[in-house]
Amino acid sequence: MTVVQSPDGAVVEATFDYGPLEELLEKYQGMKGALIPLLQGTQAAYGYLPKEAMIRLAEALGEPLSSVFGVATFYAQFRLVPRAKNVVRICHGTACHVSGSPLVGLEVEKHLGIQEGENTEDMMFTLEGVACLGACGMAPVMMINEHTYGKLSPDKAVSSIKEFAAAEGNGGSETAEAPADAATEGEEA
Amino acid sequence: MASLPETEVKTLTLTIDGQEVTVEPGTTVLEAAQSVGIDIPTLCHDPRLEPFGACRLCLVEVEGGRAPMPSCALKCGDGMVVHTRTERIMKLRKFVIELLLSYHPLDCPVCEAAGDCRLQDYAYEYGVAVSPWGWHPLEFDTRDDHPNIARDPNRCILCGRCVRICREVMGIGCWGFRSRGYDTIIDTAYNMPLEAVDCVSCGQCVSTCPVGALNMKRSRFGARNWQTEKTMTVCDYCAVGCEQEIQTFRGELVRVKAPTGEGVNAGNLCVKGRFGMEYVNSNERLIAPLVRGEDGLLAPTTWDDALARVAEGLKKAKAAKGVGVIASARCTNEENYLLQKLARTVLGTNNIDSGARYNQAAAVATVGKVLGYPAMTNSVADIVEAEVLLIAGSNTTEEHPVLALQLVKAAREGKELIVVDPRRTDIARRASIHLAVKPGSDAVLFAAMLKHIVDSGLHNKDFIAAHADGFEELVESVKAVTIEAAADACGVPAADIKSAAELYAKAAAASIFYSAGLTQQHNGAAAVTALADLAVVTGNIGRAGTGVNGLAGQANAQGACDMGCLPDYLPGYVALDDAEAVKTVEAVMGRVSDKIPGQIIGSMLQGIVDGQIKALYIVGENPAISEPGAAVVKEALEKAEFLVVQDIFLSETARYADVVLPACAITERDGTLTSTERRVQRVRKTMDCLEGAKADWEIVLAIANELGAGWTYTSPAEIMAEIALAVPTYAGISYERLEQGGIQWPCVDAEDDGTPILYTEGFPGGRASLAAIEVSDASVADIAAGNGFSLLLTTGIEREHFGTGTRSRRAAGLTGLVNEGRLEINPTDATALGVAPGDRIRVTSVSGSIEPVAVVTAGVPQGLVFMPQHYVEAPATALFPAQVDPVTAVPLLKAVAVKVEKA
Repeated sequence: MTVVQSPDGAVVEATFDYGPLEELLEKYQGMKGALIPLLQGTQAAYGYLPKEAMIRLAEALGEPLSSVFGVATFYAQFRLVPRAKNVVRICHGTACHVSGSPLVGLEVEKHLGIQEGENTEDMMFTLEGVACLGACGMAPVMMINEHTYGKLSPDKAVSSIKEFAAAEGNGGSETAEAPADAATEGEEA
Repeated sequence: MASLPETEVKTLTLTIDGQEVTVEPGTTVLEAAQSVGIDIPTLCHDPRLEPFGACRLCLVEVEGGRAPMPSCALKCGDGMVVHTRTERIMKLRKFVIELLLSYHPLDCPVCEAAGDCRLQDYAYEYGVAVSPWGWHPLEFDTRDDHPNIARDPNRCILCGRCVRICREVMGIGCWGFRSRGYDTIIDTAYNMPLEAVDCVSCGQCVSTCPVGALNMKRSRFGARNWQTEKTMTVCDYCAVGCEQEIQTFRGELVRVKAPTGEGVNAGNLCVKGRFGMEYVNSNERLIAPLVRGEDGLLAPTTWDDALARVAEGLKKAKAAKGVGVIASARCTNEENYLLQKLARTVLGTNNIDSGARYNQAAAVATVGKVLGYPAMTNSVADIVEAEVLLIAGSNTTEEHPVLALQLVKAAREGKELIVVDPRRTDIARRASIHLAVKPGSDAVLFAAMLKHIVDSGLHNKDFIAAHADGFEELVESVKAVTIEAAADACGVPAADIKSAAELYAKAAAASIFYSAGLTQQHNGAAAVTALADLAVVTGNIGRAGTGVNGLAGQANAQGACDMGCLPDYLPGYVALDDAEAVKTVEAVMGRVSDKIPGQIIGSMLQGIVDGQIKALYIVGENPAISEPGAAVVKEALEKAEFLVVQDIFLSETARYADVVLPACAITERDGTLTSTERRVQRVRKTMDCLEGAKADWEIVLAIANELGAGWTYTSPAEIMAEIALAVPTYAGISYERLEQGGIQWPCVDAEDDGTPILYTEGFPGGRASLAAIEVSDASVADIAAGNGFSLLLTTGIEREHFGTGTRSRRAAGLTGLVNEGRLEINPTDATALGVAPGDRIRVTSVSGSIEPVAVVTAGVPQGLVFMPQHYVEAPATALFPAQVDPVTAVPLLKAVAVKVEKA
C-alpha cells in the first residue's frame, strides 16, 4: 500500500497500481486526440476503466473529468466496472426483439438478480444487453462468453445459464465447452 | 469590377429578410439579425459561449446555399442574402420543437423556469400544442444535493450550455454529457455531488439553462418571473462592479440575475453576486436607532433622540479636538463625499479614513506617485489584449471572480500567466510560471526581475527617454541585487525569475494585476511601487492589454478614496498642503478648517486609548473584527467616550456603541459606486427602505444639520452634481448620463465618454516618476522568529464570503456552502502536528488565539498556514499585531508567526 497525494493535496492511501497507466501516458505524451487510444489501452491493462485511472487520465490530459467520463460512457466498448468471470450477452437486435428477446432478458435478469450492465454479487456473471450479435437466424439469441445460444425461450435461457453455472461449479474449465447446437451463423434478418 | 483585396474590406453588407445589415467581419448571421431586431429562435446559443449549432432552431436559408444553415455558427459574407422565416424554415423549427415536446415533462405549472423558459416561449410562438409522436416523458432521478441549485434532468433539452459555460467561461468542467442516444443525460462525472467536483457554486450553469433543468432553488419569497419587479443595479460585494438585475416581489428580494451582455460582467456573476444578496431581507436588520441606557444596555429610541445625542456627543468631542470618522468602502460615493465633508467642514477634523485603508488606499503612495492616478490603469475589457499577465498577491478567482474569468480565458487561450503567490491558488494552477515566493519577499522578486530586464537590455529605452524620470536612480537602487540572492530570499528558482522577467519584458503587451496580497504584506509598498516601475521601464502602459492594475477590495474602495475619505487628501486627491488646489475644493465644499493630515483607522483607535480621540463615528465598517491588534481595538472601543456606529446590522463594532443608527441596505437606496476599473455606476433603489432605517446619506445629512450645517441636499443626484464640481475627474459625470451606463473616470466634461485606459496620451504630470526600490530589512525570517511559533499565518478572502461576514454570513445561499472558519495547512505540517482534516485546532500568535477547523491541503506550502478573514468566531485578524506599512499605512495582515495545536 502506497500513500499518494492527489492534486488537491488530499492524502490518500492508494492500493491502485498506476504503473500500466503511466506507461501508456508516456507513450501518448503530447499526442493530440489520444483520449480514445488511452482509454482503450487502460481498459486492456486493467480489464475496465477504474475510477483512479480516469481521474489520472483527466489530470494528465488537462481535461475535465466530466469530459473523459463523457467519452467513456458514450462508447459501448468502454466499461466502468470490472467484468465478472463470465459475460452473458442478451441480443436486442431487431430480429431478436420481434422474436421475444425482451422477455428473455427480463427472465434472465430475474434469475441472476441483476439488471443489464451489472455483475452478480459473487462476480460469476456480468449481464449485458447488446444491439446485435449477428446471429439473427437463431433469434432470440444470447451468448455466454464466446458461446451462442439460439432460438431461446425465457425458460430455455435460464436453464442454459443454470447448466453453465453447474458446469462451472463442478470444476468446469474457465471457458465452458460449447454446446453442440451453438453454431453461429452470420445471417441478417 | 475588380473586388477589393480582402484585407481592405472593413465591413460586410448582407441582406436579412430584405433588410440591409452592415457588420464587422467575423459576425455571425444570428448576431447580425439580432443587431437589427430580427428575432431568430435559439436554444443552444449564449453570447458568452462559442457557437455550438446543436439545437437546429436557428436555421436560416441563404440564397444559393444547398440546405438551411444554423445562423449561430454561420459567419456573415458580403452580399449574402438570408431568409429567416421561410415556410420551409418555419416547418423545420416547428418540427424541432415538436420533437423536444415529445419527451419534455410539460410540468410548467410547478416549474421554477415557467415564464422565463425559451422552450415555453417557442412552443407558444410556433403553435406546438401536442407532439404528433405522442408524449414519452423521461424518468431520470432529480437531484437536490446543492444548497442553491436544483436540477431536473427530465426537463433537459441537451443543449449543452451548462456543460460549455462551466468549461469555456469558468474553466472548470463540472458538467458533461453522459451516455448516448435516449440515455444521454447531463451529469457530473460518476454522478458525484456538485460539491465533490470543483463546483464553485457560481450558478453560471443555472444562468444559461434555457429551460427549467437547472434552477436556482426557490427563494423564501418565490415568485414568477412575470410577477417580479426588476431593477438594474450594481453588486456591493467586491469592486469588479458587476451589474445585477434585482428581482423583487412585494418588496422582498426574490432572485438576482445578470442580463446577458450587460455591463462589465456581460451576464456573469459569482456565487456572492448571485446567491449572496439575501442578507437585505435578513430579520436581523436594525429597525430602530439604539442608545445605551444607564443600565449599560442598548435600547431602541426615536430618530430625533438618537440624532440629538449624536450631535451632542460629536459637538463635545469637537470642542476637545477629538473626533474621528470612519467611512465605508461599501457606501456610495455620495455618502462618502458627504461624510468627509461633515468631518472636514462641520466637525473640523481630517480624521477621516475608510475601509479602503485595507488595500486600495495603498495606490495613493505607490502607483499614484509613479504614474499619476491612484487607480487601476486599464479595464476589464482590454485584458483580452494582453499576451502576458503578471498576477501578484491576488487570489483572483476567489477575490474578484468575475474579473478572473478574463484571466482564466487568457490561460485557456494559451496566454502566459505568471502568478506570484505563496499559495497554490486556483489561478496559480493555471499559470505558466508560479513563483511561490516566501511571504514578504515580493519586492525582492520584482527588484530582481527589473535588474534582469535592464541587464539583458530588455527595457524600453525609447519609452523611458520619452516618458519617464528617475531611471538612473532606479537602476542604482537595484545595483546590488543578484538573481541568485533574490532566488534564495524568495525561495524560488533563479531560472524562474529570469523566465518571468523575460516573458514580461518581451511581450508585445503585458499586464500586471495585484491586490491585498501585496498591499497588506511586509514590504508591500515597495512591491507595488516596483510593479509600477516594471510597467514603465518596459513600456507596458497606456495601451490595451498593459498597465498596472490594482484590484480594489470592497465595492466602492476606489470611490471612497476618490471622494477624499483619506486623512491626508481632499476629494480628487488634493493634498492638504497644496494651498492652491485646496482653495478650489473649498470653493465647492466649504472651508476645510484643519490643513494638517488626520489619522488612519488604526491611529484613531490608538488615539482613543491614548486619550486624544474622544468620539468616533463609524459608518458601515467593522473594525472590531477587521483591525489587527485586537487588544488595542477592544480597549479603544470600550474606552471611547462617545461611539456612534451606523450599520444595517448590529455588527461586532456596533455592540460597543453608545448610539447605533440603522441604515438602509444597498438595495434600498440610490447612489453610485466606483468599481476597480474606475467605472462610476448607478446603484438603484429596488425596494422600499426598511421601516425605521434611513439611507446613509440621509443620516449624515441629518447629523450635519443637527450640528447647524444647513445642508439642503434632497437627493443623491444633487450630491453627485457637487462632486462633479469638486473632483475634476468626475466633472463630466451626472445621473442623467449614468442612465446610459457606467462611465470610467477621468471624465472631464459632458462630452467626455470617459477613459477606459489611462495614460494613452502620456502622464498627467508630464512624465512618470520612476521610484527607487527600497526593501526594508524586516525580512520574512524576522516575522517567523521567536516564541517557538514555527508556522507563518497568512490571511485572505474566501470565495463564498466577504469582509467580516456582516453581510455574507447572513445570506443562506452562502452560509449553506461554507459557514465555518477553516485553517489550511500543508499535509506534512499536519502530519507532524498530528492534525487530521476536520480537527478543531488552536492557532496562537503573540497577539491572540483562535480555534478554526483544519483543512489539510498542498495548496499551502510547508511552513505556511492560511485562514480567511470572515469569521467573527475565529477572527484571523486577532492574531496580528497592530502594524501598518510605513509608506501606505495599510495594516499588515499577511504574515504572522503562529503555532498550531489540536484544540
